[in-house]
This record gives sequence, C-alpha cells and structure tokens, in this order.
Amino acid sequence: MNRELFLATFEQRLKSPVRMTLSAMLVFFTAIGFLMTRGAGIANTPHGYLLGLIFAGGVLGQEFSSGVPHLTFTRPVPRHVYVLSRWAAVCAVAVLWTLVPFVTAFFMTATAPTVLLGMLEASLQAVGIASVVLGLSAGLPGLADLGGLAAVGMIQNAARVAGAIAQDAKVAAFAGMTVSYVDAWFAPHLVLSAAAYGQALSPHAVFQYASTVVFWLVVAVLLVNRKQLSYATD
Amino acid sequence: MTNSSGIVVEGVSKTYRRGGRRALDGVSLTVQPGEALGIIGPNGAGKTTLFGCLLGHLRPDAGSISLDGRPPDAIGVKAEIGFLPERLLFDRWMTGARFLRHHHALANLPAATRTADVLRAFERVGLDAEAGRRQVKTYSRGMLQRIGLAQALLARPRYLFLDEPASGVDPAGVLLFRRILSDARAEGTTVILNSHQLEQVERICDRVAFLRAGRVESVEVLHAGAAVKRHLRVRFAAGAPLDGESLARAAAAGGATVITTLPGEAVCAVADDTGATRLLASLLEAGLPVVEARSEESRLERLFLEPSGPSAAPPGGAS
Repeated sequence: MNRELFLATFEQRLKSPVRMTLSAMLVFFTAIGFLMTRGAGIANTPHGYLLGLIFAGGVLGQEFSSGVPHLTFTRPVPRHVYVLSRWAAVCAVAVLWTLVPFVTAFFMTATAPTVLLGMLEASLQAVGIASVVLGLSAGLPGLADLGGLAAVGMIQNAARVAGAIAQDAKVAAFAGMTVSYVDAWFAPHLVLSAAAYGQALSPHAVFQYASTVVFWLVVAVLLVNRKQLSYATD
Repeated sequence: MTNSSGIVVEGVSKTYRRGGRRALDGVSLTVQPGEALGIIGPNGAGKTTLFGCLLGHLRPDAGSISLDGRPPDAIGVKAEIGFLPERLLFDRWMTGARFLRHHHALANLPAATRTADVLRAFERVGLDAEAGRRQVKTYSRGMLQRIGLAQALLARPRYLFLDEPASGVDPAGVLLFRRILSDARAEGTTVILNSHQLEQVERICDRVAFLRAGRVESVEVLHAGAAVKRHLRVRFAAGAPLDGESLARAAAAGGATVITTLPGEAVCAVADDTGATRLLASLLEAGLPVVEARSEESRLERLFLEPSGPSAAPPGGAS
C-alpha cells in the first residue's frame, strides 16, 4: 500500500461535502436509535453498509472519469498499489464513521460486549460493501458502480417478491437461491452480534465473507491493470 | 536492463476500438539522451496518442517502445519521467501546495526536503505563496499550466514529456517556460514537446517530427549545425527597374538565395536573423531600392501549409 495515496484518498473523502452531509445524517439517526433501544439489537442496522456505499461510491470510476490517474500513473506507483491504497482509505473512513454511534452508545447506554461485537460486525459490513463497490467501480465510469448495485438490489427484491407469491415450490426455491447468492456476492457480511446471545460463528460464513472480499479486490486490480487511459480527442 | 539508448519507437501502431480509428500507423522514431524532439502535426495526427504510448498509458497494437532499453510502463522508468498533460485534470480539491506535496511523495522523494522542494518549485514557475494556499479548482488556465510544469519538474526527470506546455500562458509565462526548459536541457533532460506553437518548438527543439494521419512524414533537424532557413519577402520602390541577375548576385553576396521574383518584389531564403540583415545590407549596397522586408512563415509553418506534407523523409522511416 502507498501511504501517500492512502492519506490523499482519506482526505479527499473527508473533504467531500455531499459524502460528509449524508454520513453525518446517517450516523446521527443511528446514534439516536441506539440510545433509544438501549443496546438491544445494536448491530442490526444497515449503517455500516450505507457508509460503505457513501465513501466507496466512485472510488475508481469517478477518478478515471476525471482523468486524474493519467498523472498519478506517470509516478512510480504500481497500479495494484493504487487500487489497494484507495480501497484501504475508503474502508478506513467508512469504518471510522461506522464506529461513531457505537462509541456514543458505549458511553451512554449499551453493555460493552454487545457494543464491541456490533462495532466489528458493522465495520466488516462497511469493508465488505466497499470491496464490492471497488470491483464494480474499476469497470464502470463515474458513479455507475452505485447504479449497478441498485440494479442488483432490484433483481434481489424481484426474486424476493417472486418467492413470496410463487405457487410452485421450484420457483420459490429458485427465488430463494437467487436472493441468497446475490446477498453473498454483493453484500458480504458476517453476523457476529448473535454471538452475544450464545450463537456460534460458522467457519463457512467467515470463509465466504473473506473470499468474496478478496474476489472483488482481485477483480478491481485486474481491471485497472488492463485499463488503457484514453485521451479520446487528439 | 538499463542502458542509455534514449527513446526508441519502432513500428508502433494503435487503433482505437471505439470507432476503429487508426491513430498511429507504423511510427518509428529515436530520441537521443539529452535531445529535445518536437512533435507537430494537424489535429487528429496522432500526437497525443503517441504521447499516451510513450508514457505507458496506452498499449500499442504493434511495434515496441523503450526508454533506455526498458518498457515505458516499468516502475524504474516512471521514476525518471515528468509529464505535463494537455488537459490539466488535477486533483481539484487539493490546494496548490498539497498537490505538489502529493506528487513529491508519489515520486518517492525524501520527506525531509518536501517543504523546501515545494517552495522552490512554486518560485521556479512564478507562483507565489498565496497560490499554494488556494485550491487548484480556483486556478486559471495559466496557473494550472505553471503548477503542472512544477509537478513535472519536481523529481528532476531524465525524460520530460510536455503536451502543449504554454497553452493559456501569458507572454511572460511563455518566456519563463522557455528559460525553465533551457535549464532542464542544460541539466541533460531529454525533452519531448508536443505543441502547436511552432515558434516555441523551433526555439526549444533540436529536431521536430511531423505527424500526419498517424504516420511520421518527416523529421527535420532544427539546430545542431543545421541552418533554420526562413523566407524574407523584400519589396522595392514602385517603378524601380529590377534586374533579376543583379538581384541574384546581390542576394548571393549576402549569403541568401532568391526563391521567386515578382513585379516589385522578391522572396529570398536566408539562414536566420543575421542572414536577413546581411541580405538587406547587400541589396542596399548594390543600389537596389528596398522599401520593406517582411519575414514569411517559418519552415515549420510551411510544413503545415503543404497539402500533403513534406517529402523529405519516407513515412515511418524517421530517426
């Protein structure tokens, strides 16, 4: 990883007024929710996922559309280092913001074990979705990565609806499988908070999460390595 | 393995998938270490595509490119190049100083000298400290060119690629750029200059490659002992008898040659400014009633004006 690229991306994300406004609103309402529920179900919120989307959206696509990498790639920085540094930076920003409601809850209401497990779970959720967005962003321009995820979400919802209304067991099973696969590939997460209530963590789930994250990182690196920086008009 | 063979481009072709346009068609060039090569040609000639290939941003479909024996996308090569793009698409959210610090760090230059190097870079391109505190997105085109040149020179590159470096810069800036490039050349930097400002190319470059439709139509030697000929249109007093023979004799005595004679006018080829002065002195000495002398377009300008380009060198065979 390149320290300068990491820091520059980190700073860039924090200096984006739109991202900061959305994050502040999200964190504020999540913290209110945590305080009102006093620790119960503390990790069952999507804010890690949403913060991952907010900070990772366009992490590569927007850059390539803006033309900035033309200059960055004249520096002695391998492309895979560029990709991984930007990924690490957006993950770091998303995780830091994800932790804010937990820290608030820790000091005000919730019991420590629940908060700690919830922090980890939401952070992994943020990292997971940031990896998916990175992979999509490497191949799509601008913020089309978020559009792609929205399309995937619509497919998943359509499958859910089809599964719910299907008369045929086969159709229902197929719809269920679609929902599950889409979830595994496009929203990698680990349910850790259940451990606070005595449920064990499956090694399969850990492997599935880790392999999905690695898969998207590899996709991003391969796509960026192959990318030719077009000058379009000459 | 590293050697000092300079830049070698051999039979490079590039076709854009979108639209199927052949941007480069068998381009061959060599650039010696320390040399300054200008790349000129009409819009769409393939100049910027050639730059993209030289920088390793674009992969040629055929042919090869090497910088000191290494491919252009090698990390070792990247540490030795500076690039000023035509389209100044910088990190707009950064301040000027942050932008230079960013590139200083990316170039793996020592952190201990970062602040001093950045300050020096600002001074070198004529930007003040206040510009360093402003966000790049508030910069004018001229300021962007200056900070772009500053980042290109930060790492004291061995190879400097400049794509329209003086576009949008005021006359004082043009002079400053010219001085900076002279300094860089004096330090042994190899300069590749893509510019439509032909006067600048003539002043800076040793040779110039003329591209048209993706092919090198000719490579002209500008300096290194070769005379840069220009045409001088001389007008004589109305009604004065003009003897072609005496005119040719007077021109030859002034080290010039007569290209054409028209009623009351003659176009002569001179080597340079001194040659023009010698020609005029010689004509006056011969008693010819000169009333006006005007410089015609330069040799590079003539390259542009010739409908199918010059016939000095076979396409693709330039070196």
